[in-house]
Amino acid sequence: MAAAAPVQRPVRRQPFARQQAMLALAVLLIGALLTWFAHANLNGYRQQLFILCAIYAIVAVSLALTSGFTGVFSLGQIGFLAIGAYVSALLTMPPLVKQPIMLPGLPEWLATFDTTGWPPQAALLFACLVGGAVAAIIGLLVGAPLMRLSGNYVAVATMGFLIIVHSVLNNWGAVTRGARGLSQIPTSTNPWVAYIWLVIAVYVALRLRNSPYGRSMIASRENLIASRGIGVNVLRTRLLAFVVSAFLTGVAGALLAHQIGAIAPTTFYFGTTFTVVIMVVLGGMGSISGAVVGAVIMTLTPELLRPIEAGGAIGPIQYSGLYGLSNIILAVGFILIMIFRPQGLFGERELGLALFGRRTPQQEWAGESIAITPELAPEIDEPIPDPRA
Amino acid sequence: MLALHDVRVFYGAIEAVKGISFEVRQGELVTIVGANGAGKTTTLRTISGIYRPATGSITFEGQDLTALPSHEIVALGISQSPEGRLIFGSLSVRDNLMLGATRRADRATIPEDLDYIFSLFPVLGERINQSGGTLSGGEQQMLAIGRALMARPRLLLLDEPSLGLAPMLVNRIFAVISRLKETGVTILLVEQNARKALEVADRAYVMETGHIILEGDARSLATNPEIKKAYLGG
Repeated sequence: MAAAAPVQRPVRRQPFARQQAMLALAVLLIGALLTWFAHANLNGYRQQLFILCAIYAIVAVSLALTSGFTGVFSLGQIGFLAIGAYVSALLTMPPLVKQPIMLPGLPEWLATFDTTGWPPQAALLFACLVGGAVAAIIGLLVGAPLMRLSGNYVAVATMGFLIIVHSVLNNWGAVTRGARGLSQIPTSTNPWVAYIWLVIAVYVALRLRNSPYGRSMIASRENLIASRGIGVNVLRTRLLAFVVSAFLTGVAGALLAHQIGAIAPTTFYFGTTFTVVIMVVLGGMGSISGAVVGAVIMTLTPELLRPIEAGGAIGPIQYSGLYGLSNIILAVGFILIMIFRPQGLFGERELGLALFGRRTPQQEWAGESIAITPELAPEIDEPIPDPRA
Repeated sequence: MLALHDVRVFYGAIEAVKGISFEVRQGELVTIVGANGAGKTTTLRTISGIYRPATGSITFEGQDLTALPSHEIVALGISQSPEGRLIFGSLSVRDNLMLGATRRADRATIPEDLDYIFSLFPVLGERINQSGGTLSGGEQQMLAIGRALMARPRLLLLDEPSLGLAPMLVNRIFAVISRLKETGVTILLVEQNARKALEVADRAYVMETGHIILEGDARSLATNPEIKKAYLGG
């Protein structure tokens, strides 16, 4: 286009970027310290809680990636968690428990596939990568048709995917042992592995968000018509987010299987789905650090509240054995947060920027416009009536 | 350059565009004027591939657009500034503009085009790091046009660029539209503000309830007594 009058170039905020990098480093270090502490000093139960926090944080971050950024509200995320868990478990279970008597449906190469001789962490890494990859491939197959849908439709359709996964796990006994689930999975997930994968998940999500793809994701969430009118490939953008998030969730599934050592279909159904959805909504849709914080809160609070169920005294009021009280307190907490802070704890902000009290352009608008079904725009092929058309 | 032939578009059972044909030639500024609900916006969105025509053909430089996805239509050189601006409120002005360049192959010249857009709309340069949602209505309209220009379109679709703007801003926007035409961009402008649109356009079509009822060069339409009475306030 024609040459133009000189325009003052906006100054890039270098010091700000440096502050951000310092903060990221500090958070990484604090995380590493906590991990070291958990690994070295905590007893079994608390260490398991730490690992669970990290695993669910990975799931929440990947859900924030697809639901928060692209606005495609997926209720099928836990299906990918299940796929990662089962695939990885079948890889690393000792051949002795994969014999045809136990799991007649396994192909021979898988039944005799033996990682017992490998270093445990190498076997776990391999299982994570394969579990994630299988989840990503299935994500691609499922996403290709589903990412054409919007709003409520995609939520129901992805829930259909979850139901299918659950039914397969429950009924394909020859491979999954049905409702009894798989056991004797090597318990090789430790705090460090969980922490490193969480760092990877957060890094991937942040990089993606600040890339041109991330820009397209947010654009297609905010307005489909405008996005299409300027050439954003909405389907490809959504699919990318969906597949990346399926991979990360698959990895989390592998970590989960190798933490507990036993998995069953009940773990991977609506209960977990809604817990993870609450994590993301609580933290703020569209905020990666919010997802992590939401996951930690949702994992730890029920455990912290448990002692009060046993009975005790609040001031002069004595009570005894109120079971379910912790759930009620938690639920009241959600209601209050949604009333007074509907955008979640972080809205769309990230931790560092909020801490420094500085706002990026993205943040000025944060929150209010992001609802569970942010898209009111018409379907791809079927326009809805527009009274002003 | 662009030709529509007997295009019909339905919303479910409602026929919004009832078989229209028109063309836009290279270098022209063509306007479609008409009242609310005449089908103007639907027509533009159908050209962009956002809606699909039930029948008829849309060709751009001989290529059929009716089966192409919208991002490929933009890649061919047609971009749109939509009705109601529809800027991305949570993204910065810069990101909004960069999104307009999504389909560009020549990425090296993007900074040059950003400068060009800031020369057209200096206020956007001042607010480059501000989020789109904090801009005023007029600034948002400038941003929507700038965003569409970042695709380096050969055909620019402008949907109601004067909607809801103060008269002074309307004049600004139309001045920029005239300037864009001088740089050689072909423009299809949809407007309710028929007086302004006919001032800047070469040719015009008048739409009413899904049909094109009149066409001609803009100057003669502006003096047509019927048009004067119906759209220009006597």
